[in-house]
Amino acid sequence: MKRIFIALYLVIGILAKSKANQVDTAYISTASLHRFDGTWEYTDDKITFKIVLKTEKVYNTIYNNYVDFVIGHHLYIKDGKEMQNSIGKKASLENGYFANKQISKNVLRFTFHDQGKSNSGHAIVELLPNGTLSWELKDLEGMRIVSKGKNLDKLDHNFYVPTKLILTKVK
Amino acid sequence: MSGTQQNIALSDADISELKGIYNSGINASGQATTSTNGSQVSNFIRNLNVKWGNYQAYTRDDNSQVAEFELEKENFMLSTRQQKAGDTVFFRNKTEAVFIKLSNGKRLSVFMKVIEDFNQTKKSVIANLHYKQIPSTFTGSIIFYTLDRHFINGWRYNAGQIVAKLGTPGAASANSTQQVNSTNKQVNVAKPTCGGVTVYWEEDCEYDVVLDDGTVYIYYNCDPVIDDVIPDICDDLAQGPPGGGVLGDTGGSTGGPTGTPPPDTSKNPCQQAAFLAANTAFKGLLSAMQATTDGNQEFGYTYTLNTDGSVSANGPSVGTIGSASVDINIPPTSDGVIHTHFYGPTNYPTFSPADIKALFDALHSGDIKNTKTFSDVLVTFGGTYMIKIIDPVQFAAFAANNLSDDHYTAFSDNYDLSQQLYAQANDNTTSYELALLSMLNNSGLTLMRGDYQFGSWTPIVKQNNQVVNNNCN
Repeated sequence: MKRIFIALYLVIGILAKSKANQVDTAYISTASLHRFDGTWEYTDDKITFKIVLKTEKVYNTIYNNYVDFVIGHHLYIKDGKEMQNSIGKKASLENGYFANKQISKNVLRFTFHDQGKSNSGHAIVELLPNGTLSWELKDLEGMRIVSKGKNLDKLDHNFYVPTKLILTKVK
Repeated sequence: MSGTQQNIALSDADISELKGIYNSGINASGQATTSTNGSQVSNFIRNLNVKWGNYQAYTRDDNSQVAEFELEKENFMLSTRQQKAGDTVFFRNKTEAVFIKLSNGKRLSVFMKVIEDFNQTKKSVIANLHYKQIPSTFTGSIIFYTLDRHFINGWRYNAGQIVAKLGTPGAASANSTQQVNSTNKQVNVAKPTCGGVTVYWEEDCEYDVVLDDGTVYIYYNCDPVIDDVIPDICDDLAQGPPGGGVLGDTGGSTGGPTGTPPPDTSKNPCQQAAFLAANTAFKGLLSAMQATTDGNQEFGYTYTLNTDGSVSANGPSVGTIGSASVDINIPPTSDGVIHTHFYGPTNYPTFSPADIKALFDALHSGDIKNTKTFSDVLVTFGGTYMIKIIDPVQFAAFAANNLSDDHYTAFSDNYDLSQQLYAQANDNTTSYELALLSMLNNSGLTLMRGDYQFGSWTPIVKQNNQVVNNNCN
């Protein structure tokens, strides 16, 4: 019996020491990001455009902590035909965080992966006072060099989903 | 404040004495206090009601005593950037009555007018600014008047440092023409001297406060009254206005000789940048470009440094309205390229991934005649930056792994991710600077940051996740 107590004592001691040696990684939660969570949709006679947003805890490799980012997926249907759909696949809206938190906590900027091209763009979403969500796509800005009459920029600056809409929360 | 201070409490008798000094002082010359016309345009103090219960008083290390009282807010806003309805305003004003009792018993009583410009930091520090106590991030102007509202002197600050002594507000009116603007208001359109700031004076503004601390607000319903100019005192730059008529000129020289020859390849990047910082014409070009960052399109120039020290600018290349890009052709004689980023909540305040790619495109196409002296300059709403190619071979290798068609999207996405991660603990501009510096690691490029007036360039690097100045050795 005495041996059992000693063994238990040692096990508890090791566990306690193990916990004491753990470095707690901080988690900085940003509650205001959760306001963007949900399914947002625009629909009319011709198109349906839907995005699904969710706040997720991600590891910040720079500061060795956990932070909240919003990620998302999109669905675009035109004339009854599914044009793009990332739902259930790799997120097409990544790194969603305040575009400039010093100015507004109602505006997020995402890296947006348009399935119609290889290079990314920016998706800007803004929570509007009436509860709807403004959606806008922006091409990545930059200088473009023209040499010997030819523009050297080969990136595709078009988007193949709607670039500006007001979305309503449906879920 | 230099030295130390010891806070003191004022008695009712003290305040009563100061009220007497104040009332006597403000009525000394019988100036109108509410007029908005004529000669009063450069008097930036109208509301003379002192908040006598709101003060800071202290004894300085020279045994003089200072008491500062804030005045009630004016019904107008002074800024150095013309606002449009719906703009987010990053200017704040305040007026303090400052009473100084010197150790020999003599008194000095003045008004201190503060025009804060926190467009770069997006964080106002005006509440922490007091007489000779200037926060390290304060940018703007501080102007002193006698109690009867005669101008004494003024100072322009950038990041807590004095960058210019100001002349008399409105003195440039003699050097200006009067026009009627679109709202049928009379405005002074200044002919700039060697430097200075245009103060936009607008009345009865209303704001929508966005943040709890009120540092940011949306402006509307302002009534533009008049523009005014505070010239710099700059006798040492007596050779005339730099860069006049820069925008719209094509291929012309933007300024006279400065007496300094163009940089040669034996100079290091800092020495080359120092040459540009000393070139009045070049600074004038940057200043004119900076003025466009309030708009909604990008501009670009290339420039050539002439043997007599003058600068020939080619341009402007003009981007599409609303589009954050500009197409630029680099002629074979060019010593550098400059382009702008206009203000937008989601626009890059530093070089974007595409800007880095464009630099490589220019190098790869053979459009850069001399990589050792070529400068890629960016003027944005948040700052001014320069990239120098330190090692063309390393840059080419970096580009192959990061900027080629197969890799560019990952480079761009990683830049964005890095910026958003840095944004967790930094202001917006700093987060972009850190992300850019991270992405340019081992690129063969060096990044420099210009000061507010383009008078100096400092290499910046990332150390311990902070942006720090670097030397050129």
